Amino acid sequence: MNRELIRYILRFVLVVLVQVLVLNNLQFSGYINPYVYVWFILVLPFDTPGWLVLILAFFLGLGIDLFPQGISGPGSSLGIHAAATVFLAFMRPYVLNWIGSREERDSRYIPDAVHLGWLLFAGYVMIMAGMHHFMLFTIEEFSFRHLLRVLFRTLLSTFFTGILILIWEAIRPSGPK
Amino acid sequence: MQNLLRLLLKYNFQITFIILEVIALSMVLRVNPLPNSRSFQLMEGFHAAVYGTLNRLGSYAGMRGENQRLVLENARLKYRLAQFEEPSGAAVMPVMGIDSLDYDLIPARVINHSVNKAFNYLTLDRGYSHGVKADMAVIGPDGIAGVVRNVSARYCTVISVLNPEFRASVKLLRSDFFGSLQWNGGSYMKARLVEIPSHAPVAPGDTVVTSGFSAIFPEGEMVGTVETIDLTPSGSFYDIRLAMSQDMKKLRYVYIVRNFHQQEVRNLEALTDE
Repeated sequence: MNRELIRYILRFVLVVLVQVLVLNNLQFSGYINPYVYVWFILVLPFDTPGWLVLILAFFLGLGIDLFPQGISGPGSSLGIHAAATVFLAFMRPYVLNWIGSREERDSRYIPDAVHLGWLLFAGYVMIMAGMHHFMLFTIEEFSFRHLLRVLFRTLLSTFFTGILILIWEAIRPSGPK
Repeated sequence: MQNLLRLLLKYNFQITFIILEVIALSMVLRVNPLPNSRSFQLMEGFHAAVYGTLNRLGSYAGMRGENQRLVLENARLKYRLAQFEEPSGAAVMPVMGIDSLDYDLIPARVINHSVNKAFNYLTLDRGYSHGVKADMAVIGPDGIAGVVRNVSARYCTVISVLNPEFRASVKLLRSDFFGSLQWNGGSYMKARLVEIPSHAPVAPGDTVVTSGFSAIFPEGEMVGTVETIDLTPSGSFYDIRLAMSQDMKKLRYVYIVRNFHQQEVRNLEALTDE
C-alpha cells in the first residue's frame, strides 16, 4: 500500500516536471500544445474514490498552472489547467462506464493499455484528451467567438497528446502490479 | 437533517466537482472568494516568483546573442547620430527636415510576452513614471513590435504585432505605396499586408517599412519583406504575405517611441473630422 502511494506521488511529480520542463517548451506551431500530464488521471486505478480523483486532478492542474507555459502572456492565468483537469476527472467514470467492461473491475484493475487493450485504450485517451483540451482552450480564449479556432486547436493538440501518451504507454516499464 | 446528509453523501462526487470547478474558475477570473486567503496569496506569489526566475535564467542564457545585437544596434545608432552632427563638430543642430522625427526613445526590457496565443501581448518594465503613455509605438532591434495599451507606474502592457487588434500603416519602401499591416493568427513570423492597389509594382523580397501616417510609428521603421503576392477576389488590391523582420520570440530589449507631436496631430485631425 505504502509502495503504491510512493509510486503515485513520484508519478505525480514526474508528469508535472515532464510537462512544464519539456512539453511546455516545445513549439511545433501556435496551434499544437500537447498536454500529456492528463495521463496521470487517465490511468488511476478503477477503485480510486471519485472525490479523490477530483482532488488529485485539481492539484495536478494547479501544479501545471503554477509554471509559466514556455513563453506566456498576461492571458495565461492561475486555474486554467485546474479547471480543465477537474472537468476531466468528473467525466472519467462516465467515459469508463461507457467503454469499459464491468466484470473486470476490481482493485487491481487499471484503465491502461495492458488492461483495456490498445484499441480501446487509444479511444479512451483520445476522447478524454479531447474533452480536456476543448475545456482548456475554451477557458483560455474565454469566448465562443473563436469557436472554430478552439476546435482546430483541440483537434490538433488532442492528436499529439494522444500519440505521445500511446508512445509512453508502449515504452514505459510495466505499470503497478 | 438526516436526509440532507444522505443526499450530500450520495452526490459527494458531483458536489466535490462543483466546488473544485468553482474554485478553479474563480482563479481564472481573478475573483477571489476569500480576499485575505493566505493560500491564494501564496500561490499568486509563487506564480510570480517562478515567472521572474525563469525570465532571469532566460536573460542569462541569451546574453551572448543579445550582446551582439546590442553592439550592432549601437553601431547603427552611432552612424545615424553622425549624420545629424555638424561637420565641424561644433554644436549639434536639430535638423527639422521632412525626415526629422520629433521623437525620442525610451529603452525598456521585456519582462513577459507571448507569441503563440490568439491575442498576444508584451509586458515592459517602463511605466508612466518613465514617461510612457498609451498608444506609443514599441520597436525592437530588428523591426516594429507593438503599441502600448495599458500603463501603470513602472510597467506597461503592449499589444503585440501578433494580435488581431494591432494595425499599422506601412508602405513599400521601393514604390511608396502604402497599405495596412495585419496579423490574424497562424505563424508568428508571418503577417498580411492589405490595401496595396494592384497597379503598384511589387515583387517578392521587397522591403516594407512604416509609413509614419498614424503618428504612432515614426516613418521608415523596418517591418519585413514581401513573401508571396496574391490578388483579392475583386482584383483591385493585393493580398501580400510578409515575412516579419523582428523575431518576436527573441525580443528582450525594446524601445518605446515618444512622439512629441502625436497629441497635436491627433487634436488637429479630430478637429478636421468634425
